[in-house]
Amino acid sequence: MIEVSPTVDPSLWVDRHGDYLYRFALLRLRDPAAAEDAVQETLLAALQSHERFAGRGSERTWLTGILKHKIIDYFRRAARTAQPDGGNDAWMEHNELFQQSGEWVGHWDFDNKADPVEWKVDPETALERSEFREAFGRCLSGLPERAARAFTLREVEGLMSDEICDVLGVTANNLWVLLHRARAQLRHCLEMGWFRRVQH
Amino acid sequence: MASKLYANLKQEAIFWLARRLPTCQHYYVPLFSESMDRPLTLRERVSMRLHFLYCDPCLNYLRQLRFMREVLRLQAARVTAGEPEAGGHPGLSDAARDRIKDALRKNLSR
Repeated sequence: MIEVSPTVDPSLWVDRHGDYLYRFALLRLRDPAAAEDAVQETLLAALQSHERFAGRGSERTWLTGILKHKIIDYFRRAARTAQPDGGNDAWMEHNELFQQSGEWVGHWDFDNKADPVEWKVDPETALERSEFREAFGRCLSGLPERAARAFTLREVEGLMSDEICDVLGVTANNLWVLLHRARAQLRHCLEMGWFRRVQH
Repeated sequence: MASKLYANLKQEAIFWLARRLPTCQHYYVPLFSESMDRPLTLRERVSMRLHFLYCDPCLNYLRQLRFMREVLRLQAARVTAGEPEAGGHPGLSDAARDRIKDALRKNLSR
C-alpha cells in the first residue's frame, strides 16, 4: 500500500491534468494510443515518487516533467525497433526546384516557378486563420516517420542536437540530414499548398 | 552613363562571385537547415552573406525556416493549453480517463 500524503490526491490528477498531459503527449507522439499510455505511465510513476514532490511548486509542472521523460523513452524505443535497413523513408529530393543543367546548374529554377517566395505574413497572423492551421497540420502529418521524430524532438521539444543524437542513436550528420529533409518537405508543402495560392 | 557603367560592373561582379560560390541545391539549402541546429563557422556565415547578395530565393528560404520554427512553437503552446481556437484535440476520451483512474486505484490499494 502506497502511503499518500494529505496534500496530494492522485484521484484528482486525471481530472485536473489528464487532458493537458494528453494533448502534450499527442502533439509529440502523434498517436492517440501511445499518448494515452504515456499519460497513464506518467501518473503511475508520479504515484511512486509523489513524496519527493510533496506539494513543492506546481503539480502540473511536476507531472509534465515526468511525462517528458516518458516521451523521450518512447522515442528511444521507437528508434531502436526501427527497420534493420536503417529505415530509409521515401524522400523526395525536389530536384525539380533546381536547374539541372546549364551554366546555373544547382540554382533555383525561376522558369519553373520553383524559387522560394517571400511569405508576406508573420507567424501570429498566419495562425489566426483556420485554413492555414489546417494546411500546416496536413503538411506536418505528411512527414516521413524518422524525419518527423527528429523534427519533433528539435522543434517542439526543443532538445539540442547532441541530445537528439543520443535518443535516436544517430550521428550528428545523420541528424542534420533528417532535419533538413523534414524542413525541406514541410516548406515545400506550405509554399505550394498555401502561400503560392493565397498570395497570388 | 556612369550609373549604367556601374550597373554593368555590379552585374559582372555578381556573376563572377556566383560562379565561384557553391550551389543553392547542394550547399546553401542544407546549410540553412543546419544553421537552425548548430552555430555556423565564420567561413560559412561569410559565404552565406555573399550568396544573399545575388540570391533572393535563398534568403526567402532561410526566412521560411525561421517562420516555420516560430509557427510550430506558437501552435504547440496553444494546442497544449487546449485553446479551442487552436483547433487542438480536446483531451482524453472517457474510456481512457476511466482506464487510467482504474490503474491508479489498483496501484494505490495494492
